[in-house]
Amino acid sequence: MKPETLLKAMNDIDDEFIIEADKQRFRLFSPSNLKMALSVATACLFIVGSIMILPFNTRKGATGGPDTVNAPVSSYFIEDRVFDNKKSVEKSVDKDGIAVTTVMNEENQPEYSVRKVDENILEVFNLPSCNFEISREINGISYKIMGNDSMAEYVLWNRNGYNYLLSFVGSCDVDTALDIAKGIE
Amino acid sequence: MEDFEIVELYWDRDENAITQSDLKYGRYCKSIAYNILFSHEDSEECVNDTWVRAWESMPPNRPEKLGAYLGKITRNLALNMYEKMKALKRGSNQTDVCLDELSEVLGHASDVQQHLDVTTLTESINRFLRTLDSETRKIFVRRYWYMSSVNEIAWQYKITPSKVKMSLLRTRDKLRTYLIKEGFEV
Repeated sequence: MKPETLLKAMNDIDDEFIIEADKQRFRLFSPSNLKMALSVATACLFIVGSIMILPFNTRKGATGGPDTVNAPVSSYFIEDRVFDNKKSVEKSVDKDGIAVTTVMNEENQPEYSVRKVDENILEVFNLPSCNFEISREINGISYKIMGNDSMAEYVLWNRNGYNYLLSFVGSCDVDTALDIAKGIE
Repeated sequence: MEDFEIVELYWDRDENAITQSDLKYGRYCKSIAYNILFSHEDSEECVNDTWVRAWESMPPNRPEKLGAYLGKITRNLALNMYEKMKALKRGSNQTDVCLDELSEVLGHASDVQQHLDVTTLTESINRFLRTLDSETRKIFVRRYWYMSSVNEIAWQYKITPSKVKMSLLRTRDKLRTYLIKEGFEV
């Protein structure tokens, strides 16, 4: 039997197996879950914003704030300590509705961006093909580094129920990429 | 929009059915096609063809699980496109790797008989999948239905790549034994 025949025959396996193997993705498209997720996200934003925006602004007013950060990051997932020696951060929402934090370098050019997604709500990230892929285990967290020609372009990891994707505008060496990834909350 | 509402749009010949399908399952279908073809452009074409096939097949079909139904159409189209492109550019995508893995246990014997028995083969695979425990089955389906890479599967199910590889190896061997028992020539 040719393997191609088997792959083709697998096309019509029972729907239950297809859905079972892809439950997260199917949950994403469930309207009821989406509504619940949006409600939870709104509530979280409100609570986190209430807790953090005021103290941040107050702190900035009192001390002048960290010079290296132009935008408040209160509702964002990267703490301001990550931005030491960086010009600024920008926040946006990508085409899939995922919040993105982009960190700019000293020349105010985008250096890298971070996406953080609840693993129970959204699917894993789809990335373009890479010819370099390694995994590193640090403090019990498995970091997957992907890129080309031994240089890191993406780092993926899961922590505390969230999937993270760190994307570099260019590429960098693996150790630098891991150092940045480890610093992201 | 719920699946049954989208299916109803197809039955009403309302072109909004395609828009709604794209909104709800566009990315899902594209990821299936991309894992097979490794080309954004070709995947996009496959997904567009999926909507055409869906439009042509509903009615008479009224699928209960629209996602799986559309996913099957996309996968079938992508595999057909892959076969056409294979002679021109054989790369190192997951489809090639999956085929290589399966050829280790299935070989390359003539499949004239299997051409006649694809439906029977599918039924046997379904029965085989039911004999597996849930985790093993999910890993196997992710690999050989979704064509996900070993690392992606490990990432998704939070297990090590070596565990995924070991599970796939054992399941392929079990499948070979099962198919022989069912009377297939492997």
